[in-house]
Amino acid sequence: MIKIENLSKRFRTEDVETTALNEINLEIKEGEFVAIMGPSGCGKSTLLNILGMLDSPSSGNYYFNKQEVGNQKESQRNAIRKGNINFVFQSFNLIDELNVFRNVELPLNYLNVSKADKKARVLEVLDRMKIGHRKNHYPQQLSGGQQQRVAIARAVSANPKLLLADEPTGNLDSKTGLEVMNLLTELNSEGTTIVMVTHSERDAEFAHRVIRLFDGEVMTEKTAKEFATINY
Amino acid sequence: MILNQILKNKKWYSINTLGIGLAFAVALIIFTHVKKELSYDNFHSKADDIYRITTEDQQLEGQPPTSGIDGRLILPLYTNFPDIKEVVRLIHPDNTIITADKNNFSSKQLFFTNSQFFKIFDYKLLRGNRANLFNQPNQVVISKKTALAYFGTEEAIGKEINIQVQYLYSKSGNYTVAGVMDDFPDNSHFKADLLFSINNNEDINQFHTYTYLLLQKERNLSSLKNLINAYWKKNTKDGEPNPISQLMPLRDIHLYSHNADEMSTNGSMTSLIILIAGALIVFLIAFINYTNLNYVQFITDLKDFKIRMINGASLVDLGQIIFIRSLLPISFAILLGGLLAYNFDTISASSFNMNISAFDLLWISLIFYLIFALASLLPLATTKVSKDLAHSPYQGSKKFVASLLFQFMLSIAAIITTIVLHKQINLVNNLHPGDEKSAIVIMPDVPYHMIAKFEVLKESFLEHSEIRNVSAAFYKPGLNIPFSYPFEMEGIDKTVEKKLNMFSIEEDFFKLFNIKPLAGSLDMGITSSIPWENIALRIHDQNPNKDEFIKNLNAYTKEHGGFQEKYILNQSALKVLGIQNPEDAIGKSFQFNFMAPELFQKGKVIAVIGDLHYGDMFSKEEPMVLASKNLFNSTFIAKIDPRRKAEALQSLKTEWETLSPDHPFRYEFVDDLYEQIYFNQYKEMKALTLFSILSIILSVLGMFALSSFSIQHKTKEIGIRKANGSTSLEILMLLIKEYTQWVIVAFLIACPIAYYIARDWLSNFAYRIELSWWIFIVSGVMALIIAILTVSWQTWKAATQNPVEALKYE
Ligand SMILES: Nc1ncnc2c1ncn2[C@@H]1O[C@H](COP(=O)(O)OP(=O)(O)O)[C@@H](O)[C@H]1O
Ligand SMILES: [Mg+2]
Repeated sequence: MIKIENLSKRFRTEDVETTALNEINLEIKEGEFVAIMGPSGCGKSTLLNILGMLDSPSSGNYYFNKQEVGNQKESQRNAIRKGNINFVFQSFNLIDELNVFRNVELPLNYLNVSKADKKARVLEVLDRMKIGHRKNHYPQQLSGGQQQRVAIARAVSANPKLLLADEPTGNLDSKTGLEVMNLLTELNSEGTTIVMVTHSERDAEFAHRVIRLFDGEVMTEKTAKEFATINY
Repeated sequence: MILNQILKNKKWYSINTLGIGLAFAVALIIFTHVKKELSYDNFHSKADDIYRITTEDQQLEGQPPTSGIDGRLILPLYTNFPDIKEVVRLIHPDNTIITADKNNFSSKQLFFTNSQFFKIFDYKLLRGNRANLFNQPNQVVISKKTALAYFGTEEAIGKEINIQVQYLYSKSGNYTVAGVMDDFPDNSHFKADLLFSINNNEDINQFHTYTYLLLQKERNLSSLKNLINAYWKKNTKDGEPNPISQLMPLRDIHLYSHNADEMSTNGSMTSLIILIAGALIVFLIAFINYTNLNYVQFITDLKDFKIRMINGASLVDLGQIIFIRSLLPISFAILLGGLLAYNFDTISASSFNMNISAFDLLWISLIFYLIFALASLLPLATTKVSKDLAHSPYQGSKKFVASLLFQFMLSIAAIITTIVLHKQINLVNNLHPGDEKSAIVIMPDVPYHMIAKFEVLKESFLEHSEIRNVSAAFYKPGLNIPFSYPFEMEGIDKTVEKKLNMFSIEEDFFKLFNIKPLAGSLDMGITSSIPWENIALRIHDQNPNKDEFIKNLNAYTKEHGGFQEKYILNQSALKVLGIQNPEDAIGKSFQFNFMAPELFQKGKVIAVIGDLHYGDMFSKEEPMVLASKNLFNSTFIAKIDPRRKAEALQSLKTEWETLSPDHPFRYEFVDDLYEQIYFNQYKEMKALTLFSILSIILSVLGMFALSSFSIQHKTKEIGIRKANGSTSLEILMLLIKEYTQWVIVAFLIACPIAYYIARDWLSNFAYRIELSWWIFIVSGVMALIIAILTVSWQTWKAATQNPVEALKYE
């Protein structure tokens, strides 16, 4: 589903140039659940953003479903992303002025979905995330765990093929974090490909595979099980 | 959702609504006003072919020409020029008494005219037959208003009106109402209430006749002018100046003609340009505020927009959201502005007679919707939202520097020009004679029989304690009427042909206007009496009984107590005479060479006064010699107790009517007279003051919002600084320094602009204030203080906050 060849990303700010990603090669198959780990500032978010086509690589290629998208125009990338990819962020990123229902409805608004279908779909996802009873509330009225569940509901309401999660449990206590991880695992088992950045070894165990980044480079790629044995 | 937005940002929304609302009100008002000013006399179907003919005045330099021409020049125009189809004469006599239904009336809006009037002009006739008007002698056409006032009904056809005309005696008599016209529209450059008939080619030797020509569609203006000039020249006696014709299109009269004796105070293109510029400035400032706040709003919302894009929204989707969001505040603004504009007369306590048409309201609203709704999309169009969706960098306040500079600049320029205008109007008011101009009553155009009774009237006036001084003069304040004559004066070379202006005053004139002499004494002692003047006036070369009259006069003079003629010079006269020291003129003998030489006897110069500035200030003070000839003093003047105005007016009226039951009491206040003369300048001053205030209020609001935004983003910086030991004051000083720099730059740009505008405006006046440097400094300092106060308000709150609080806030 995803293939990355010799991909680099450099940032220019005033006088310094930072290399966030350096000649990375990577492949992710449809249906996989991949965790990305590494120290702060090693380029995890940058990689995720490029995978999600929110950002473009400085050099190298990115094939999404065999199609080269890394060097596409913005509008092209936006079109491919629409309906195919969605995100879950550490800071939830809900829109404060919209209530839960409207937030979750958001991706469907920009696809050709009838009003009735939209409503049915939103209610269904909200129920699955066990947040249906809060559908008329505003984000500020919800706890962190609830907000993240709404964010996940929004991310999957349009049935994306790829779900990108950047430290989804980073702002949550361990119990709610666990709930969120269970939801993600469930989604993955239903066919959604998931790439998740995390700091937590425990969360990484939910993934099929862990990719370790260091200073913009892939250090090791192992399955969670392998890591588990190594660490013990 | 929109409501949520508005509640969350009510400060910014209300600033925008107020700004757009004011700009909308100003746009509506100015547009309506300008449209009216440009529409003057458009309603005549033949407007494009009608011209007013005047003559260039060659008598005196620096004086505007009059609006009428010498009656003797008109008759030849009827027949000798194929380009001229019709000629309409309008004669406005002073001193008339009208009697209708046994009541006396007076009207300023009365004219004698010929039947062609109704052929070339389209004033609407309500009663009567247009084709037959004035086909019989002694007919009169009156306005609806007049019909109602005189006869209590519009059905006035066939009624009689009697008119007594002092200086056009042959036209006095009974006239039959032949038509009733609708009241003249507001956008007519003159308004007539009574039109008395004269014959088309009746030879009326009236010195001052308003004359309109209907020209052929195919015409050659310059050759027509040349032909007229040549014809006039051929018929001018040797030694008299040749009249030079001027043709002004009817529709230009209102805005471009500023002759003497206009039929009513005209508008001015300069005023219109000032008004339009002012409106544009208010609009620009409101627009800048709007775009700035919009941008700020956009930055605040950027994160949400990015989230929407991540969830599949396109730029068009975002544009739609922003566009729809902008409509509500714009609607509020238009509602507010519309209310302000429709109630402008009440709010400003003025009588602009705002007649805003529904159609104008509609399309101007639409334009506002369009401009501001589209402007709300500007930040979206200029920011790459979809680029770097993952990051939302904060864009600093550098972006606003240019617009802040611009607003400061406009505000400073507005303050400077407002001060200049106020100072100039003030100067003009102070230069004109009279301390309390609102307490000086003028009775203009007094008829002869009342002039003859002046002494009696004066005495009866003065019996009332609320009437303090009574005097009389040649003509009313504000006029500049040249009566210049050659003279002889002791010590002045006779061979040099010079002329001085004669201005006649009654002996108490100086006391009333509180005028002090530069040299000599203003005590006129015994002056000539009216009977004496009447005899003297008849002694001239054409009079066959000249010698007998002289004998009579001399006898009468002795009987009369042997008065001595006294003359008073003004400073401009001294200059013409080449006398440096006013004292040197005192006691010198002087005599006017008047056409009736006995009227101004040889006498002595008793005093020199500063320039009187009795007339308007658009032209320089004429060299004047003041003398007392009571026969000429057809303007009575009374100074009253300002606290007992109503009482005083009543007393004046009662005494007047006791002596002259036939001729109604008419009065004007001197301050009103001058205000009328400077009508356009007052209008400009008031408008500019209003615009300045609006600009400053809007700029302050904009600055307030912007600084609150940047403070919000600086809170963390302030917190860090404080944590590192800076005091609140130091932080404040830093910000003040920043704003001061901008104000100084804006000041440097504004000064030359304001200087240029102010100088241009002042050039209207012959006497101007100096554009002293302090006006500029004061304006700059004012702007600076306003800026600092606005910014400090916000900063102080932030700076005095506990640093921990500030750091937490981020
Ligand atoms: N928009 C940006 N501009 C400049 N430098 C950036 C930007 N985003 C990330 N970086 C830099 O790139 C490197 C990787 O950042 P990031 O991918 O956010 O790290 P991580 O998510 O692993 O903590 C860091 O050194 C960071 O400072
Ligand atoms: Mg990160």
